[in-house]
Amino acid sequence: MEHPIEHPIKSPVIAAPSVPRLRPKRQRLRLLRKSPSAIIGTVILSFWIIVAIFGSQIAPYDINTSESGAIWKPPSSNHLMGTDALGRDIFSRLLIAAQPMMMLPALSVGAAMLLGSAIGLFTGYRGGWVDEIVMRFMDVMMAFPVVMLYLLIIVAFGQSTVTLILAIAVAATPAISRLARGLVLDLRNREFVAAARMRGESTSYILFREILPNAAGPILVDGLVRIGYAAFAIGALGFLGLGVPPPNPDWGGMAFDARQALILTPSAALFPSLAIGSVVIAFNLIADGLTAAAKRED
Amino acid sequence: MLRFTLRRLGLLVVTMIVLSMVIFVLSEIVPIDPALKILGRESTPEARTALTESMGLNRPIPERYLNWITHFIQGDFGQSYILGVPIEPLVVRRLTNSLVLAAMALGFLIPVSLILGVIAGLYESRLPDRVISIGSLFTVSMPDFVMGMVLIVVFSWGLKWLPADSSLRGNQVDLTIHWRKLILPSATAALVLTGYVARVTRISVIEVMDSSYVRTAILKGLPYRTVIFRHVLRNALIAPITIITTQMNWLIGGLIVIEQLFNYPGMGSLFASAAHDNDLPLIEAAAMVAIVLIVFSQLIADILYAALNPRIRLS
Repeated sequence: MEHPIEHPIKSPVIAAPSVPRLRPKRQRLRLLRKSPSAIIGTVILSFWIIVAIFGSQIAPYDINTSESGAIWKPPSSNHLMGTDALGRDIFSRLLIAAQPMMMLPALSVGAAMLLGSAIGLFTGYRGGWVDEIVMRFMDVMMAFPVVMLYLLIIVAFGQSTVTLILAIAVAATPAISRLARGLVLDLRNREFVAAARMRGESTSYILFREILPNAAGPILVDGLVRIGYAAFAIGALGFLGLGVPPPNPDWGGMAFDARQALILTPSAALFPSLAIGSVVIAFNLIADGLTAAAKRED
Repeated sequence: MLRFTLRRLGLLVVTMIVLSMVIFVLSEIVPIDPALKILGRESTPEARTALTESMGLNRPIPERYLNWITHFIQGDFGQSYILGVPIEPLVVRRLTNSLVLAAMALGFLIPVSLILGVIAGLYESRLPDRVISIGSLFTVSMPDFVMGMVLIVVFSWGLKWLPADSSLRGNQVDLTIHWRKLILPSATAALVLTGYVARVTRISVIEVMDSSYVRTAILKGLPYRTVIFRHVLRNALIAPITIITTQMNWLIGGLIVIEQLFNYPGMGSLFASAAHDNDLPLIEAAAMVAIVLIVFSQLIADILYAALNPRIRLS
């Protein structure tokens, strides 16, 4: 299968895994600074992280208090972004919902990265029939439409935050393990690995101390893009009513609720939608900037 | 070519079997008693046991899997728990609606994304490329419902040109009557893919323009136009065309969010409502239909790729 299908828009940023030259950490940070798109992305992301941390202090209203007679009010000086179907302040809800939006994607992709790179490292280094079978299975899983896989997992295990993380992690693992495996196949024949083997180091030492540090760069950049798409997925699931369980606000759910009032106050749907969009774009910009800068250097 | 096709076909059959098992196991985990779901809470335990027995739900899992999969192959998808109707006609109707929507989305997607991608590739790093590349980065990053919502606000709320609600009120889709309702959802789906396909096209055009055969064609004095149409496009469009084919299954079975947003009765919204109601047979059937679609679109993509690119076919 030359074209693993995931989400239609998940264009793999790193098409062919290649291991970049080693370079000191300082230099890598400078790379990031040189790329304007990475800077813009970092600024947007930092903004949302600050909102996620201090959201509950900034929020002018309680997120579950309804104001009677204030249903679907357009933005005003009292309610910066208007009110929703129950007369709750949209601005406050938007701020509070930033926290799960910053945490859940990172957690789920982090779990997927651990699992995926472990599988990829092991099967890639081992090779043989284990590798063949595991990778075939990963191919099969990658063929599944992602949203459908999320829904199946959420239906199977019941709607909760843990299931949400699990669903996204499971869906992201196959692609990450494929990437890690590709990198290992490239690295395992290098001299330093051969040297370690000659020294009589154990397999786990070679995998985690020799190969993993060299494979980490591409896996991390790929992970950044995936966190962006995980944010996207959480928004979409919230939109389908299967995201963060109520009564916690989530941007996707807010956008879906506001759909019925699109004629009255389109802003009620637009603000949470744009919030999701900005997070996804921020991650994309950072990853784009990193890959472009790395390519320029080489 | 025949051997290539047969090998792919064999691989895809294995894929289908494994995925059907994944679906069956996942729907087995669901903590739901089907008899309770069908008969309701007021039913007696005896009635529920009797129903469980008559539906064969107390049999061992492998036996039930075989039973389910053989019925599925014969076109018998069972009955919906919630709606109480046979699933097969329902799925067929929704699938037709989805096919019509997908065809319309392709009608937007193919010309727009290919033309934009080719322009960006030919003007690499110059103004047209900058504009198109930034634009496609944004459409790639925008969630589909956000895009759909923006379209609704602009075309339905602002300009009042098109309806925002695409429900067909239980009717089969008919393009002569419903075409206006289909424009916004299909445009949203097309827009989601446009940026991606345009990016792939751009990279592919840039690569081909760098190749030695294009340089030769230019150096031997062929007119620029001839070089572009004869040499560049022919080779550069292979990748985007294959990408579009692999996205067919998403366009037909995966537009869950878009169909939900516009209330369009396609496969995606069928799956979403089945998932929402925990309607297991319907979930299984819809997921299996989606898998058959995936497998076939992948097969077509592989064959098309091999047919367009002799290097793959012969290796």
